[in-house]
Amino acid sequence: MDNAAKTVSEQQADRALKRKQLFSKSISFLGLVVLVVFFAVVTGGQLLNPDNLMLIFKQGFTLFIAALAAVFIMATGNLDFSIGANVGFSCAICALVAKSVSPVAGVAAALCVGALIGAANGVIITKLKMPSFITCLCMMFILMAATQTVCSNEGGSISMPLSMRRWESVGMYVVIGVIYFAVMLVMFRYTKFGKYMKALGVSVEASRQSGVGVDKMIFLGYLLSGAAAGFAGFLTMLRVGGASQTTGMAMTNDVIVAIVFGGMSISGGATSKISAALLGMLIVTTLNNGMVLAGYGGELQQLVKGILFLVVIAVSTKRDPNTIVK
Amino acid sequence: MERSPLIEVKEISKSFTSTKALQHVSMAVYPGEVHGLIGENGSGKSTLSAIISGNLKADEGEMFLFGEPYRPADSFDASQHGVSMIVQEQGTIDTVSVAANICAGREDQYCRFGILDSKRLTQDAQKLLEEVVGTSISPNALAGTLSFEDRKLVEIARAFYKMPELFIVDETTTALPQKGRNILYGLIRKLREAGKAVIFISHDIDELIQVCNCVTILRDGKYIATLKEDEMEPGRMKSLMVGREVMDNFYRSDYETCPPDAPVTLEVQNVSAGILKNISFQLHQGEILGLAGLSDCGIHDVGKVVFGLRELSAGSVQIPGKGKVTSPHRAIQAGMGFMSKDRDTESMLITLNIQENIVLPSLGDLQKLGFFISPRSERALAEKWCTRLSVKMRDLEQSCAELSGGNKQKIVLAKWLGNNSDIFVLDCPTRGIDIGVKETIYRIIEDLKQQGKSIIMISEELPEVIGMSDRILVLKDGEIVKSFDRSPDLSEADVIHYMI
Repeated sequence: MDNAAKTVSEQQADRALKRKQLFSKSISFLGLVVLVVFFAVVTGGQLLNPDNLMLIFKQGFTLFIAALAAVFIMATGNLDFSIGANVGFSCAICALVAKSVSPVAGVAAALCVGALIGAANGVIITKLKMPSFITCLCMMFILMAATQTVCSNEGGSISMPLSMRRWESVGMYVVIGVIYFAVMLVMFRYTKFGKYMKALGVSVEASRQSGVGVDKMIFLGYLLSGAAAGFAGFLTMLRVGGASQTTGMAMTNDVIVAIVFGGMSISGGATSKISAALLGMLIVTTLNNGMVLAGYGGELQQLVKGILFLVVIAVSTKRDPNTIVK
Repeated sequence: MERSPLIEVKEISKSFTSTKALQHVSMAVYPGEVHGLIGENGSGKSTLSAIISGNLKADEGEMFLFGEPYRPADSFDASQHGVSMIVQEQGTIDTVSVAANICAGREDQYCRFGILDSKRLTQDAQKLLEEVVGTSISPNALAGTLSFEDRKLVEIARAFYKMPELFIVDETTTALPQKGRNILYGLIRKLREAGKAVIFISHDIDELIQVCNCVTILRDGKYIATLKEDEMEPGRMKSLMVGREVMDNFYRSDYETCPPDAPVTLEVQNVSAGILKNISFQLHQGEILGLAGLSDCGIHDVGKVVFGLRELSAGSVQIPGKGKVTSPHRAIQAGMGFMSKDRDTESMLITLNIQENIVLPSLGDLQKLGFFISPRSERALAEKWCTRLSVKMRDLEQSCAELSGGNKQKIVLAKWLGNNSDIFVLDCPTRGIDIGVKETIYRIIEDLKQQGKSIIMISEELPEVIGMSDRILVLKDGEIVKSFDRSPDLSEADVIHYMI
């Protein structure tokens, strides 16, 4: 009952707790350092070559855009499995409209299509009371089919107008990146929206009883991750010069893996933070790039990522036989 | 007087995560004894009986039955040793028949070549029902279709499948009408005459004095005293339970009722929802309205209905001048705050910190420029209310999961006070809180009343409802059956009369 007189064992327990918290806070960063050192050695320094760093930066940028926005919906404990397919479809629409109408219309189309897909997920989940996991998985299959149809109508892949090549520059990436990060950070930490998302991840019922409009928030979360996927679709097109049937395929996995690697719980809640997406995106991009440089084949890359993901989930979550991920 | 005890527990301790439910408790029960066990909620009496009956395992300590070491693996093992218990809450399996309930765990005896002889099982069950509890409940009925009282009788019959050596009655009598009580008292007498023993747990001190020939008092998980028959006196028992002289102002000392012309702050009109039927009442400014009844009579549902958590099949909940309450969101906007009975899962975000919990409903008001919430304003709000309610904490960043029950309850109150609520719907506000903090909660509630807030207090603990309320509504089977005004003459028996 008395806080004043803490016993020695309690003080020790307090200190042990603090150490543990510090450890779990810095483990993702340590992971990144280990990864960088490992691949720098394995590739004989190639990883840290300026040209390669620039490549990592560009490769990681679309993941950065998608993952930061996905933090919101993942904070509620829901996953968005349609992100990758959304990126692919938005990219295809973007290229198609840019080619046939105008580049600016293409950008607008990508953003709108992405947001619409997110909104569709949100409506199906909140209004039809469908499980989010199933909804997003089905959305993924639908979008993959749609992307293939659009692309094969155009002869397998769609190229963007040549004039758009000039849009891409380091300056553009930096400006967009800084503004985007600032907006997401403020939104997550200093607005009702971000705080409500985190609260929902702890307990939907307790959030409802504290005045959180649950359905509205879940809808907005999917809308945001959808719109960001649309934006990422446009950026992907800009980087690779067009769209193909497989664009964005690896993104879904990479987003979820990045956020979890970055130190956020897959069930959301208290550990949710924007920095997890940033840190995780660096880890995943380094891993992807490093494995290519080290000459690992595609199958081996998937295998490594799969196993690492399992390990991280296993050590980071308290498992209860009665709960499953939503 | 050298008798050997029928059962003896020695130095029993049991902890649940952070709370010590029992600390080195020892007691002995002798043959032919009806041994009462009393203590406030959370004193450990149910934990102790659960350990003796094999439903829980002690962390430390030993038990001896007839001098032999006794370590029941589960409740069935305990009943094989002659220890059976009937509990406070419901203890039947609703989806199977009465007979299957009575003979649960003993199916082997009715099996021939692996096939269940259900005819013989049904006959045995019927015989037990008739001989032990003297009822004509059909053994083939599904347990879930019976009334609460009948299900309790089924449980009693099950406990007497084999004549128990030690029979534990855990607050069962509050759920039984007089007839059922008499049956139970008869059985207790029979056991006593046969030299068996009974452990009798009840809140009702008068009943204990009537039924028991000695009583052990527990407080905050510790053994306090055992009183013999001639020492059992209500005042003494009470002060031992509470740990000091029970002062008159433990609840409220005044007997004023809310003035009839006080403005109405909440109006519930002809509401039906779930088990609730045609509920109507008004809440006034500065009024504490108590809701009393058995745990499944609908009192908790009223709280949820008022806060907009349930869909209504008829009627409405209105806040004069602010419209209808249709969702918790609307209720909060209209100045309402709700403390759920399931505090840890519904009223708190248990893994978030104190500050995050307190500011959650107030975030809308803290916004600047229509969106930005400054950490400083959040901090100021949380700090203000933690100080006023003297929450014991390390700092505002401490996770709520680490707090004690009483402090958690204060955080929930701080949350609604911080949002400047006018109406407080408190469902079991002192549930699982130790006695000292209980008093603090009562003082806060009284303070709220003084400030002109309106309070609905839902509780299964009659003394607190009677002690705190300006007016008490008694519910039974989803209907309001009686309304009492605050009065020094109102007794628990008066209220119970309408509850059952």
